[in-house]
Amino acid sequence: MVESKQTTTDDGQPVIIRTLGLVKSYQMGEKTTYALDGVAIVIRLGEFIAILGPSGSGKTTLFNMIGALDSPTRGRVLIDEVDVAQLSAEELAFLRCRKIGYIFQSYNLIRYMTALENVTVPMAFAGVPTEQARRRGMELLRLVGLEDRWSHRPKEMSGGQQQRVAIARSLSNQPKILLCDEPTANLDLKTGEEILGILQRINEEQNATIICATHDHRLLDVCDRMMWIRDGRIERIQRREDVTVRVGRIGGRA
Amino acid sequence: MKQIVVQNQVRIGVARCLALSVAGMSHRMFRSAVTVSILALAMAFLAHVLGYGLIDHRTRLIAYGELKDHWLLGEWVQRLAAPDSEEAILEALAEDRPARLAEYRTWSGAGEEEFRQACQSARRLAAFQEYLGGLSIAARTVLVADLDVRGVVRQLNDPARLETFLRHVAELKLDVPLGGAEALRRLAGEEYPGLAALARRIQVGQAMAIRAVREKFPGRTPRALLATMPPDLAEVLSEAGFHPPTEKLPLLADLAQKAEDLAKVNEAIALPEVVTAVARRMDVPRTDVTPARVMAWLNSRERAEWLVGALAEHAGGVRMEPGALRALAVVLQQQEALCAAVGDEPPTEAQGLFAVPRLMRWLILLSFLVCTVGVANAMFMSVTERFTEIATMKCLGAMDGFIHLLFVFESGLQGLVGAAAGIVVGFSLALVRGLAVYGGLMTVPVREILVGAGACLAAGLVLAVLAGVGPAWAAARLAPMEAMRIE
Repeated sequence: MVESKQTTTDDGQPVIIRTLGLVKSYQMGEKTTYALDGVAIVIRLGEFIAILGPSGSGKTTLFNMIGALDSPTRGRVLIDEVDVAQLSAEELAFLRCRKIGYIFQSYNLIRYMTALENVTVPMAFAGVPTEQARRRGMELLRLVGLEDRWSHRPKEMSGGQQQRVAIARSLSNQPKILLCDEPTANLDLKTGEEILGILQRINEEQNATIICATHDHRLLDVCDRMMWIRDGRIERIQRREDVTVRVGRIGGRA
Repeated sequence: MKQIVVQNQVRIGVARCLALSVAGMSHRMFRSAVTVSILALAMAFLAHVLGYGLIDHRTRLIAYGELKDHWLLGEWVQRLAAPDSEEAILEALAEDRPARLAEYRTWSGAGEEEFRQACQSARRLAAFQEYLGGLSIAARTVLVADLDVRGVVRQLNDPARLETFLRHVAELKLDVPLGGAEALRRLAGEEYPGLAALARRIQVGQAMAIRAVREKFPGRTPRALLATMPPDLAEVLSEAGFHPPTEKLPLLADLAQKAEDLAKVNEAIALPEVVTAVARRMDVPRTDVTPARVMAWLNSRERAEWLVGALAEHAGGVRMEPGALRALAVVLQQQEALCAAVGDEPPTEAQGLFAVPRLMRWLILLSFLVCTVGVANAMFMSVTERFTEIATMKCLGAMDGFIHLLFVFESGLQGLVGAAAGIVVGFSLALVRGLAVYGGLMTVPVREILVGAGACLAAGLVLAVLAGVGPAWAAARLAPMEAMRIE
């Protein structure tokens, strides 16, 4: 583990994720394609970040790097000042299990498990005793408003309910970082709003850092900052306060 | 202050892994069932071949043992009636049968050394016989025509003939028998005449022994004597120089009694009046009424009762219970079945898989190969199908070892279930086939079959796990970011 000294930003807030000159390239025959081309971002603890950009912009690649799911060609990803590239397989599994929660566009619940079982899977991986895991699982289901559906399987639930189970699951080991990959893309307007509400509440109540890759512009009302990606580079980073003024331009650019 | 401290992930328990594996399989019942049935098929084939081999071998072995008892009875009936033939004596002298050799020594009156040398000569004669037996038909024709070994040896006593014989052997580029012309000359000139003289002495001695036994039990044929088995029979036989198989005597008595009864019935059936009655009843021409046919026809109690009645009417001397008559018919059929079961060759020591013909072994190997490919394919399908699930689990903190174990367990469990099902089916089929071939004679070697079943189970498990290792490895190596892919 390599630690650097800088753990706070200039204004004294603790930093949770930092990337340094992140490059990801794919060799396709003679040609080299850059999915990411020198991305350097800093995310503070407890921030709600939206990553925006058209498809093929490198959004997902950046997302995977931050989530310790993929390794960069060059550059470094520091999660709480720990270089992800230097972690062993066991340490990576530990990191994914307890420090990062993942929320997927297609929910990715395990089909043959009930809602409660799905929520307790990460706790099983973390070695939490079964009884304790069940208790905490029910608590989390209550948090997302699904405690009475704990015995239902994914097939018997709507998309919004499945996503709420997925959120409960991502929170099971009290992660510091929540990575959401288009969490509302498969949902209708109303359920999408509900999900965003839950995410916002988690962000406020548990001080979890939430990073959302999204196309959903409603997210902009919720997030603290938004990062625009285009062609593997950070096009711009904006604070929400600034964006509300320029709302017209968003529509114009799209 | 650091918010995140990274440690090693805990390892997950085997029991939990097994439970997850079972849950996953129950979700994909159909695919699991297909994998299980592929395995069950291959295992049923193996279990059937193995099980039938074991049953077949054991049944034939036991049938062979029983047949040998029948042969023993025949042998003793003969030996108590007339002296052994010279051929039989020479053969016995070359073999290692202590009881028989002791009898011969007593009857011949030869000294120990003389008798020992006679045995060696007999062995040389047997070796010469083996040499002649190993010749090609052409060589045999040239050398000995259709003479047996004793005839050949007798001829070779003539030096001119011996000369010719040796010349022919040289012309045919064969090995000289017994390792040299000198040995052959001695066998023909000295040893064989000595042996023949000894055999004659033995025959005389045996004839005297037979007379002694007859005088002790006058008016009884050897078979009747064995059937009635007087308490002092063994003693009398021993005094006369016989070495009777003491522990087999009760069995011989039983078999002899049955043979006596059968002979009586056969005799009665041959009476003209009985033949007429039986021919009418069986609705066949008179010429077809033979004892064997009648006994085969005697397959119900009602027929047995009728025959008893007929015998009582036309052949007053024979009185028999219908049940006993039926039992006789059954014994006769059993003897036939025994002969059929043993077949042309006595059973060998090899059993089970080792007795399986070579072609069958290849088939088993091939079926295993196909089965392995089938299971591996099914497992790969299972892995492909669960890409997202596996990747998600890895995102949630599953380690490679866990995923690996998950799939090895899956294929292993399927292997166990499939093998168990296959074994039950295969051995049941073997049992049915054994019953069809041997009927009531079938003997099931339970212990061997259980061991065989255990071996099959282990083979199935190993097979399935081997087939599962590759797919499991592929699953474990899956990158967690596959979970991000949208189906």
